[in-house]
Amino acid sequence: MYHHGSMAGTEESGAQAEGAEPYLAELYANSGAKKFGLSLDDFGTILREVSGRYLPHDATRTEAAELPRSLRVEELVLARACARGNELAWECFVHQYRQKLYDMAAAMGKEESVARELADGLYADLFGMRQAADGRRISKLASYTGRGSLEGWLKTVLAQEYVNRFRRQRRLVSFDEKSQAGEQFEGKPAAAAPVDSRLEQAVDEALVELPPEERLLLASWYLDGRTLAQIARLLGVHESTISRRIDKTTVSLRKRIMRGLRERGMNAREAQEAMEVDVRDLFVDVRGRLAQGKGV
Amino acid sequence: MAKMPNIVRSRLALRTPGSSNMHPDANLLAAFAEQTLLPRERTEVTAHLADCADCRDYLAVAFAIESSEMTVAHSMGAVSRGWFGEWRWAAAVAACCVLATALQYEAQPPALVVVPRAVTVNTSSNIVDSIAAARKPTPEPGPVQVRKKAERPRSQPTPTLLAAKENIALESEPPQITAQAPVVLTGPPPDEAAQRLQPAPADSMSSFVAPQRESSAQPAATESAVRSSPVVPAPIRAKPAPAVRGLGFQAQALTQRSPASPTVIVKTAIAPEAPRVLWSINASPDTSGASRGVVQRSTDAGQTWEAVPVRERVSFRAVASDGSDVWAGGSDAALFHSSDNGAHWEQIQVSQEDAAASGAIVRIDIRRTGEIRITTSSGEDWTSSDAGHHWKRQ
Repeated sequence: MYHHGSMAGTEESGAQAEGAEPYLAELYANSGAKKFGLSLDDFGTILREVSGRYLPHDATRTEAAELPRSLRVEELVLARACARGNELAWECFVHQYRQKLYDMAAAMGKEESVARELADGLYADLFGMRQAADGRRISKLASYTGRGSLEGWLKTVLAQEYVNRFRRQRRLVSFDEKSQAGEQFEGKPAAAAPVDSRLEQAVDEALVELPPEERLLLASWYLDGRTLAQIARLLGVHESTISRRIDKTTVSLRKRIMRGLRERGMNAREAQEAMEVDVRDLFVDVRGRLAQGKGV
Repeated sequence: MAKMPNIVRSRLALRTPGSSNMHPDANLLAAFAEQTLLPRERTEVTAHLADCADCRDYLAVAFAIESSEMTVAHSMGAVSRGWFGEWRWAAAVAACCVLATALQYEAQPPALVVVPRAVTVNTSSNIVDSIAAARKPTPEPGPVQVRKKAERPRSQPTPTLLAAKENIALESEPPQITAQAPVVLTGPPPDEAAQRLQPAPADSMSSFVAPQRESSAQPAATESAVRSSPVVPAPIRAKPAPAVRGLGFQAQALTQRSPASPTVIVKTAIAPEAPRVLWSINASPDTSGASRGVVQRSTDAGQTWEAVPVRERVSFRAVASDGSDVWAGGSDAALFHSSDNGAHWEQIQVSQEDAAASGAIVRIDIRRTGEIRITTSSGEDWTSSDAGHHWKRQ
């Protein structure tokens, strides 16, 4: 349902090709690739593939040099060796990550059966139940690129699978189940209420002007309902910093919108009133209500 | 928190990533959460996340596992509380029971439980090598050699509890153990394994016990048994530390010197609620062979050690535990906390309003009051009395 791909191109530029070369031998030695039967050439091919995937065409030499050194080469080598069917690598993976995988699934799934199914499904994908034309197993571990930790990658892949399953299940809930859960049948959707286009434009303009991280803060806090601790953990800063930044951004956003409304011809009082309007109130059928009142 | 106009919420919710802006793959999302992206990539992924609720959901579900305070149902707007909603009162009662037990525990210290046998941790063990060795057709001697010590007469003095309240000074950075420098952890014989400790005048919980073999009161029979044993390496000089009474846990530490390795430092902590769980920094070499401090755990009284993945690029220098609560600190003032015996870790920012900790964390104390105190290599002391949420520089 959700197709995730690289954000960068896959062509290899000159800077990309040069990036890993000076460190290749050092990284190869540090990675432990030899234990899993990967030669220096194999290792170089993997690094070039990763660099080609993530470095854009206009990457600077600094970026090209920094990327290979930022990789988790030990875990990358382990994953790629598993994908190639190296038994020692697979045993190491099982030893280090199998239990973690099931623990993660248990933490996400809550229900044991769901968690088990989730973990089993991913475990099968990691092992590779499907085969390519040449008979080799297609393992999901081949898509790990060492950008984050292998454990973090496993968590993310598991979360993607879980969220997608959750969404699929929500769409397949029957009317009976909805009714039993106390949900009312959906009526005819209300027609979109007319909102002053100047207000929409001013808000959109103010949101675009915000730095992406500030917009992420607002979305996480006001839309997703995350806690300060969760946002802080995601962005790697302290909770109190997040709290201050959300306050500051909210105040600054209001000022920008007010300025935008005044630029569009509203005076201060009109702009203030427009800001305070709750868009949910605009869905009230005023004409219908008035007609009802006359009838009584 | 400032109020956000509803029109802003609705417009914010309507934003979607541009058609040319593909979703970042799982690698980039994980690296974003772990703060390991290059600056340019981080900006791109942040901009995407700001407008993509799907990717925010993935990250929230994946990296909220540690806190266990969030579920997909929460993140996606479901309201079902399940059985917990009806039994919340039971959780409150259970919490009271735990509190009462903790108070009783505070008033009456538990018996000392120490490793009931001498254990030699050979430096040649690591995960890859052990698996590789196990795969060989002809079995080789295992890297871990265990020998029971001779029984000590009851009339003999109990082993001296020596501890280093002040963490053992690190003589080189990072700590490492080279080959030929095995570590010997010792304890009283089985019949005295549950012997109660005598109180010592300190309130730190990160105490360290010097090896019994260093005691001058060691019975001759034990010494001869040690010498005659083919599996115990040559005696190693260990530096005893001052006596400290730890309420929450007991710990063992050896500062060893060997010809092959001028500086070998091992710190081991024993959790009281799980007496066979030991924590250490580099009790056995890191699987990568890198010269950095690695948090390690033993669940079999020190026979085997497993590297506990906390954070790859941190060289750890101190670990302390209190029950299932484990704290580990290292380079760049990186501090991590696990409340489930090391299964999940959360990074703790040691900072206050206008400053952050600097240098490597070289010492962690868990005090009986619950206060956490850390010391950094730059000489800073930081304390937290709310489990690491807020810190104050001393």
